[in-house]
Amino acid sequence: MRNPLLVGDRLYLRPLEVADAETLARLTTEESETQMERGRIPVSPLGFERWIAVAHERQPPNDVYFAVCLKADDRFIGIVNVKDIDWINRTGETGTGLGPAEIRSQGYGTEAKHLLLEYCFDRLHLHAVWSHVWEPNARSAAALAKQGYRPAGRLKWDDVKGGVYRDALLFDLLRADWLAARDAWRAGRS
Amino acid sequence: MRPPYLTGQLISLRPLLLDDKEDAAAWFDGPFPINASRAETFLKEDVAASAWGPPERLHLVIVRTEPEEIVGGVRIEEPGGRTGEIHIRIAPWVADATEVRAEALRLLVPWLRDEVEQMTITVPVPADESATVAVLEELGMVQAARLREHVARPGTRVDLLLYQALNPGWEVRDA
Repeated sequence: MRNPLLVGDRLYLRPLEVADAETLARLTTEESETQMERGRIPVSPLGFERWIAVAHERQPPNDVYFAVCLKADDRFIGIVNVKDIDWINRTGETGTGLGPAEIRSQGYGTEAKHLLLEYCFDRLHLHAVWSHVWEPNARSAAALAKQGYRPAGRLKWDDVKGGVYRDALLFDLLRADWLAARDAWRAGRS
Repeated sequence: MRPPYLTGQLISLRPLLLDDKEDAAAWFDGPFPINASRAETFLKEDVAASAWGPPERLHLVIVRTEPEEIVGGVRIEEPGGRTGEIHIRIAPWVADATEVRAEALRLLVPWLRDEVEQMTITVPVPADESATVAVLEELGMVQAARLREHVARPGTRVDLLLYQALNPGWEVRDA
């Protein structure tokens, strides 16, 4: 493992490095499931290089992004993040982006998210996190429910797909919700 | 520099000026102290970053009409976009904060909806600020979401409500 901060059974989380920029740019370009967003927009690795460098300048940061890597071969398969951290109210918005498509549906997303939530609740001592999912992305909404998030509402007309405005679904998660979901997830694996 | 619009009985809203650095504690949206020197940097780097086009983030000051004084600030996310979000800060020493906030919302929401023609306008409000909630509902806004225990208060926590105004002028085909 390279520079791990949180370690799970099959995955670990480490800080993003500038050298990850090329992989990140490739993963976004290769994304095949365009229901998740309005569509693909090619981004230069130079943009990611700058973004990664800037992301580490501010301490404490407003946003924390982790590289999700396989323990078996250190392969970098995506990111998890908590952003817009409110250090006074102790809240933040979580997000996940894993790819390429063939690594999905293997439980990596749930494991990575539990590592991120361990970081949020046990290391940063946040009180609550929230997440928003674009309505067409039903798989992400289902994943959040499995991770213990609860529906918090919907913002109308968030973005457009196929000429139709779709809503953003909001979810929130308290520490107690997460502990219960983590215990259930662990019990289901054993 | 009192604008000919965004003016009410109690307050008016105007863009930030360099002299406002002396009153940053009243309008700057943050929990930490900001002195005049830091405020000047913010004004020159963030506020001065745009001229013709709408900025990514618009900052306004709330000025009491009589006596004329800065009593708060407004931050609008994506003022030139399809959707906007309003954040209001009232200076901590203002006694009639509820009335000032209410009038600011009565100026801002119709302006963004009817003149700027934003499609949606969102306002986050802690659930214990019932007077503000009443104003938002008076303006035709509806509660879109409730984030549990999202706001810290001394010794307790309260939910954060997200209120949304939808512009009926947009012809929208719902899913």
